[in-house]
Amino acid sequence: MHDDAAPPLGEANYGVLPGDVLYDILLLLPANELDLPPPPRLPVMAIAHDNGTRQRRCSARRCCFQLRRHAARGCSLRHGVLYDVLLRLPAKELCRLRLVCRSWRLLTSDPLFARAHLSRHPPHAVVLRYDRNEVHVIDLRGSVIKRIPIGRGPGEVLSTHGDLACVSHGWGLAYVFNLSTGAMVADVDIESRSKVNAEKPVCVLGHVPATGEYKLLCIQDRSRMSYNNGGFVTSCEVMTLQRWRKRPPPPALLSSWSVAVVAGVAYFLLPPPKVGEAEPDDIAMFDMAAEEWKPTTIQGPSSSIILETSSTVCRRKQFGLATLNERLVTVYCNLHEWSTQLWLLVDMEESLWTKIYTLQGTQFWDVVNFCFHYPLTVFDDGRILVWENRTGAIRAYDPRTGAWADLATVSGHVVMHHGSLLCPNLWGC
Amino acid sequence: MASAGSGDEKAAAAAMITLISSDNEKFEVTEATATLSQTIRHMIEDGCTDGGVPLPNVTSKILARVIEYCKKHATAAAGEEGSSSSFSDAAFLEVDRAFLEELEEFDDAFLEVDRATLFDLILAANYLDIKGLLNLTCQKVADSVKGKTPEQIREMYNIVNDLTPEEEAEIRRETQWAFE
Repeated sequence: MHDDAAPPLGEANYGVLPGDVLYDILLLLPANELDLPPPPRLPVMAIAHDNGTRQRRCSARRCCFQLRRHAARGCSLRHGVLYDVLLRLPAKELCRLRLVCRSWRLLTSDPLFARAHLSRHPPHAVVLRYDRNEVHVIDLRGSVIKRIPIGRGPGEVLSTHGDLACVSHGWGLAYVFNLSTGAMVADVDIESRSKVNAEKPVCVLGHVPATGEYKLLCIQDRSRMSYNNGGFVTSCEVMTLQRWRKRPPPPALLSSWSVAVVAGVAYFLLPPPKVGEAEPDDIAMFDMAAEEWKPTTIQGPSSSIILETSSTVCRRKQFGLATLNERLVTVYCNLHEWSTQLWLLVDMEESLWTKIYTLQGTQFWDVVNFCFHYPLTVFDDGRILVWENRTGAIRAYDPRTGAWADLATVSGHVVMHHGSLLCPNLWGC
Repeated sequence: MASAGSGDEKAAAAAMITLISSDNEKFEVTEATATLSQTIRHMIEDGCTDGGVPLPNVTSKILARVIEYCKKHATAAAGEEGSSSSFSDAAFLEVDRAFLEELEEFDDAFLEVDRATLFDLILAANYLDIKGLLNLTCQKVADSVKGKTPEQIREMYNIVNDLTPEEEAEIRRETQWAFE
C-alpha cells in the first residue's frame, strides 16, 4: 500500500547510505514511516565502513533504502542534510531553532548529536562575575551566551564539574546549579556557627567517578579561642549535596591554599609550616569517595625545578594548582625568566612530575600576589588557553611560536565548561 | 601553476580511476582527484577499483560537479605539499596566496547553485566522505539559516510546524537564555 505513494523506481537508484545519514533519517521520520515492506532488490554493498558506531547503526539499512524512496526530493531539509547543517550552527542558535518543528527539536536535543556538536565547536568558559550576582557562560571571544542568576550576592570561588557548578559565597553559603538547565541543585547554608575569628569557608565541588556522586568539600580555618595557644585550626566537611559530615582536619593548616579536584581527589597545595620543615609545594589529598585524607602528602615539582634551573630555592607563593584536560597540573611562576611552567603529575606514588609547557613572556604584575596564568584547555591545534587571575585576560599561547593572542578580558573567576548547552549530563567527551 | 597541474596529470596518467554514476555515465579521473574522497581512497587501498567504481547514490549531474570540485582542490593540495617541502621564499608565498584566493573564488562560484543541487551535493559529499566539500556545502546552508526566525525557516524549507502550543511554551521555558 505504501508503494502507491512512492515515486517511480527508475527515478534514482538508491544505494548504500553511510550510517550517519541513516541515523538522521530514522531520527527524523515519524514512526509509521519506518514500518515499510522490504525493497525489491538490494544493490551489492561495495563500500564498507569499518567504524564501529557506523556498523552498529547499519543494521537497519533495509529500512533506509525504502525511506530514501519515500523521502521527498528537492528543497527539503530532511535526511542527512539536516544533521550535517545543524552541526555547524552555534548552540544558542540551535536552542532558539527548536521552535521550527518537532524533528528539529528532537535532533538538537539528542545526546549523540550534542556530543558531535561539542567536538566540533570551541568550548565555552564559565565566569563567576565579581561585580554582580551572576554566572556567565561565555564563548572564547568573551561574548556572553547565557546568564545564570545566583541569588545570594556576589560569590567568591567557582568550581565546576561536568554540568554542575558551585559558587562559594564568603560566609558559608554555597549555591550548586546545573549550567545546562540553570536549575538549582543545592543551596547550602554551611555556617550557622560563629563568624567571629574565623576565615571564610570555601566550598569546592568534586565528582566521584566510581559512584557518579557529586560531593561538596568545605574547608575553613577557625580560631581555636578555647585553646590556650589561640592558634588556628582548619576544619573539613564533606556532603553529597544533602547533608554535611564532619571529617578529620587536613594534615596541615590550609590558610592560603590552592586547590584542584581531579577524578574524585581534591588536591591542596600546603603552606610550609616552618622554613625547612616541608617542601614549598607539598600537596595534601582528600579522597572524595572514601571521604578521608590520604595519610601521606606528595611533593610537587620543586626538586625538578631546582635541578633544572640551578636556582637555590622555590617559594610557596610561586606555585598554584590547576586541572588541565582532567589531569592535575602545577603552575610555577618562574620569576627569573618571566615564564610560567606547567608541570603534569605523572606518577603519584613516586611524586613524579614532568614539565609539559613553558609559557614564555608572562607578566606577574604584583610582587606579593603574583598573577597566575591558569591553563584552561589545550586546543586541537596545540595552543593553550590561559586565564590570568589578576588581569582577567583570557589568552591563547602558541608553544611553537611563543606568540600570545588576547581573546577576551573578563571580570571574574574563570573555569571551563566541559558540558553541552544542548543536552544536560553529557560532560566529559 | 598551470604547468604544475598538467605535469601532475602526466605523472598520474597511469593511475586513472573510472567512476560510474547512478545513471551509468562513466567519468575518468586521476587517482589524485579521486582520493579526495576517503571512501574511494579506501577502495583503491583495498584494490577493488578494477572495472570502475559504481556510485549508485550519485547522479551524473552531481558527480560532474563533485569531480569539478575535486580536480580543483587536488591541484591545490599538490601545490601545498610542494611549498612546504622545498620553497619558502617570499615570491613563492605570494604565488601561494594568489592561489588560495583563486581557490576561494572558485568555492564561492561553485556554491552558486539551486537549493536542490546544494542538498544533493551534501549527500554526495557525505557518501563519498569528502571533508572539504561537505564542510563547504553545509556551511553554506548553515549560514542561510543563521539569524532567521523559526517562521522564516519553515517558509524557506516548507516545514510544517507540528509543535503544540504547550511544547512551544516548554521550549521557551527550558532554553529561555537562547531567546534573550
